[in-house]
Amino acid sequence: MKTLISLIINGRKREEAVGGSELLIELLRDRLGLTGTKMGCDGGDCGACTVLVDGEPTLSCLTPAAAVDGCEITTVEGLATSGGLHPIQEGFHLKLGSQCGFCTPGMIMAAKALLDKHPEPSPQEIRAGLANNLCRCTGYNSIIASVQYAAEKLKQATRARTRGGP
Amino acid sequence: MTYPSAPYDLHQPASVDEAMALMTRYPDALYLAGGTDLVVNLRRRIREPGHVIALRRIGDLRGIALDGGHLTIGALTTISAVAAHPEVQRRMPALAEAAGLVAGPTIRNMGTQGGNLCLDTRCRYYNQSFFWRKANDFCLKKDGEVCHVAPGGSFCWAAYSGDTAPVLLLHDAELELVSPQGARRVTLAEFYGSDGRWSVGTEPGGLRPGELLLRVHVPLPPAGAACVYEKLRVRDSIDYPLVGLALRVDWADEAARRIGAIAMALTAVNPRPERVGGLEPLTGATLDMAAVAHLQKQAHRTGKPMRTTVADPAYRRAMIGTLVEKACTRLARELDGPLMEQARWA
Ligand SMILES: Cc1cc2nc3c(=O)[nH]c(=O)nc-3n(C[C@H](O)[C@H](O)[C@H](O)COP(=O)(O)OP(=O)(O)OC[C@H]3O[C@@H](n4cnc5c(N)ncnc54)[C@H](O)[C@@H]3O)c2cc1C
Ligand code: SF4
Ligand code: FES
Ligand code: FES
Repeated sequence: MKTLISLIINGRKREEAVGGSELLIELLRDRLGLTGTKMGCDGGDCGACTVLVDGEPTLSCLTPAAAVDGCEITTVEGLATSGGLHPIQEGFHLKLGSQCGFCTPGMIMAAKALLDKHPEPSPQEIRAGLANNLCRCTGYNSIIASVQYAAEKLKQATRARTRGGP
Repeated sequence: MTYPSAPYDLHQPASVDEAMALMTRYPDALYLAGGTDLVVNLRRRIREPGHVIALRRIGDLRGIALDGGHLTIGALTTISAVAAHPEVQRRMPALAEAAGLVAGPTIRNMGTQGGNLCLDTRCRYYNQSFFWRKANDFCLKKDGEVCHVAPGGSFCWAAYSGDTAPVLLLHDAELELVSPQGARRVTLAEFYGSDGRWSVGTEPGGLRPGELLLRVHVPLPPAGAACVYEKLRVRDSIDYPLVGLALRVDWADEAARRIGAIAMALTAVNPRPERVGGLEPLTGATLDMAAVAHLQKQAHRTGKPMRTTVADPAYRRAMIGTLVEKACTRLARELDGPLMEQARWA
């Protein structure tokens, strides 16, 4: 049995017919070609599949595709603009928060959810915010530095915007 | 490589009535709340229903209300909402604490209070992919003939491993249930069975096929009651408990550390969350090291860690005693009494 769902993925409205047991990650990767989102563990343990559903960090490996009908999804592909990398991506690039890169899309989306709610997190808050995301390479310290870099950069951008006026 | 689940149809009712109608039509269906337990088990073909009824559109099952002396938690309330709720933090801090220790932040955002109480029991031979289980000749709980944990027996030791149940047990929580046959209310204590195969669903008070948990009702503790939750796990960032322990004291005289009533419950070491018995002698006693020793003895009588986790059962058993001591010291620390000086690891 297929269900027709409509959703917004990375700002673009889409309609898709999805199967009952089809998962959000399968829809994203296998049918829409959004392979930035990774399947690490297939079971909730690693966070590599983290995307934002209506702004909330969500494991796409545990979410039925039909359940996100009417929702707004942001994947790692939705962050960069024509102006260049998103500050979080830039942080992971410059502060070496990414080595093999497999955990990076999930880390970046979890970091995005964290910074959207807490624009100035302490290192401890960053650890807690990313606790659902596993990295086998970096030892985490460079990831925390990457998120701190992004927080600082985003703060500057906000300041520049408010100073510049409407 | 990943392994798809057996195909199922997904239904998304918007009301409890619609859910009941679907359950009547598809009696083999399973309910899906946050999916953080069920979807994993579907992928591993531990559960193979033809139909799944997703609950998240049923808005009235979400939220926390305080009325009179009761806290009411809708079954679909997320674990993170329970942990962050100001009234839960103020009136029942141990519940907020236990909820805040469930898994990691993303899973707490998805997982629900109802799913946490209805969690399937866990075992290292069971929570594995179909491929893994097949290579190991399956086991009693699913598709197989023997139990790899206790090979001679016909009992399953898979452990109930939810974090919020022990605290809710000590607060005499009740569950509001509904099925196509009608509504009823049961205590949390009578909800779980002693066999790990069907920890929920074997007792008269257990979840019957097709039955839906609507809400959890918890009487608020009186002033002078204190409760803490202690949890042992491999990685503090995300893992299920290896042992979880809730301890509640209703003080007769708080300053003198004299106990009016004391209660303790364990999780992750038995097929069901278990209240520890034999604590009556402590009524009227002082919470001192002799009381700690009695609590440890009784906790060891109740908690039966088996080879269901990667951690050695002897280690988990020893840690039951340590968690008792830790919980007692935390309750006493607020009083700054001599127990603090006696506690060797403080
Ligand atoms: C990596 C990882 C770590 C975890 N760590 C912990 C942990 O430390 N502590 C812990 O307690 N849990 C842990 N969990 C388990 C789980 O995330 C939580 O227990 C969560 O609260 C389950 O809720 P859910 O809504 O996701 O349940 P679901 O997966 O939706 O459902 C679980 C079961 O309950 C049934 N069910 C759900 N809601 C209802 C209802 N309203 N009425 C009747 N039946 C219902 C379902 O049919 C299913 O059988 C972990 C999970 C993962 C993947
Ligand atoms: S305790 Fe035994 S029967 Fe139960 S899940 Fe583990 S191996 Fe299987
Ligand atoms: S792939 Fe989803 S948590 Fe690992
Ligand atoms: S960079 Fe390799 S897993 Fe994180």
